[in-house]
Amino acid sequence: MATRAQETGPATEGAGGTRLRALVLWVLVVIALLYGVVATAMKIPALFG
Amino acid sequence: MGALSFLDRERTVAPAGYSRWLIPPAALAVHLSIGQVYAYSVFKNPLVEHFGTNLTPIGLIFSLSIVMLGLSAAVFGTWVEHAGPRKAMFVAALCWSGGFLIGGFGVATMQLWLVYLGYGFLGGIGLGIGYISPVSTLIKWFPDRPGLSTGLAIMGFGGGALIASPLSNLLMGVYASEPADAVAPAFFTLGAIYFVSMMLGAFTIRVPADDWAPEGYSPPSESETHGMRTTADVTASNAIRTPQFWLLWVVLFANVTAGIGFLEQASPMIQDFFDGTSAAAAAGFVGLLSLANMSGRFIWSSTSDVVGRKPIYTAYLGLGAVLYLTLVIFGTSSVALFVVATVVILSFYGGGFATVPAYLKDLFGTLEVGAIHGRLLTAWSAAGVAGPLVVNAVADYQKAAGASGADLYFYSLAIMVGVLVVGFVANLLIRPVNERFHERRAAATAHPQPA
Repeated sequence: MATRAQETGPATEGAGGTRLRALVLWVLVVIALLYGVVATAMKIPALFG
Repeated sequence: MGALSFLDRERTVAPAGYSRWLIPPAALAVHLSIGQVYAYSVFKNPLVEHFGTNLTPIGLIFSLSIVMLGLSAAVFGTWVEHAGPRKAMFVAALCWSGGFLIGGFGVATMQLWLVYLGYGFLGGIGLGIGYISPVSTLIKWFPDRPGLSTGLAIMGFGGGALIASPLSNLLMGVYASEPADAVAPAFFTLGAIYFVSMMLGAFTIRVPADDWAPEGYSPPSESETHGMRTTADVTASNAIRTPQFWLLWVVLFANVTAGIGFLEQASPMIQDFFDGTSAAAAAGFVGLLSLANMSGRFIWSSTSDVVGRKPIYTAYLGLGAVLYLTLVIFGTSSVALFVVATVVILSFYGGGFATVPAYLKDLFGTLEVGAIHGRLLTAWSAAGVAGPLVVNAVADYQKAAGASGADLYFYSLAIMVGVLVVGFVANLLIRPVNERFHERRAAATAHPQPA
């Protein structure tokens, strides 16, 4: 998947900090989602028990 | 909003080389936060006990927040589109976490009206603005896969409830021995967590430059898609004058009514259908449905990029009606059949939410798709009232007539079949938008389509 942006007008905010925040945020949202999915999935065996 | 100019859209334009895959976590951070609203029920009994009241006034807080979601999305949709996602997410974070703060203060001081004002009214505005804030940005970053990108974000809304439910129970257990005494500190804590999460999202989101497009991407011609993926643009004020908007409103209303009516009664329903179903098994069933609702948002919405928006809604509504009919006729014959049918129904319910922004983009273009989405969400508010109302009213009526068990629900399930058929027909009637509603090219160049 090509994701390289074309050269365009000036950005008024540096990209480096945002990139790092975005990567950290990816990790956090995946952990949060896993927490929710596992906590919910643990209830399911009772349905078949 | 002059003081908030540092949040302006112009300040958030991504530079060359910025990866679009860094955008979805920002959207997810917001949707995972506001998705808490679907876990509100964990606070219902503690609030009833705390205020010494009954379920109706406490349940109204949730209804108010959902109504405000739809209204604020409709009213502020155009503002969100013009202000940009960062400012919109910032305001949504203030409203949503502020709602928890005021609501928590109301609980602590025994002022129920403050819970209405905070969680219901202000929080509901945060829900509406937060829900639509990343949609148009994601569609512009992923013009080749709008279903996947919005499915990912809106999956977060379903996932938010899965996180908030155990987290809220955990917090209430930590703060007091009785849940009724722990609601206020739990509200304050959740408000703080969601504020940080949404601010992280707000300061991570970036918009693509006007002439940006994924490398090698060229929009499909209208003849390739039989006109069902437009290359033109329609403004929000014009969109609501088209029959396509209102047909899609009916489609969303039908899909949500059928799903939410079932979801709200899922636990008592399985216990009424099958004698001897324990409360723990019913909780497991609700958990399974929640996972189906969440995963359907991503799976079906991504699938719509391949099969097309109209065909996938044909499946949501047509197959959904068949599955509801199966429940009416064979629902009591097998637990496995009941569970499988309802899991698919709830995955379609989630899929319907997640696919609709891409459907709007196909019909009306990207110019004001977020604002049009906001107006369409009034269908969700209406369905949020209608779905549970139908199921509860029919069950009450049947109970008064001496019915019990599965008989309580047969008529409401049959009504849902009819609702889905209406939605199915509305979807079939959707055609490309008439050219007279399209923006003139001179206007469109101010907000160009990706090259």
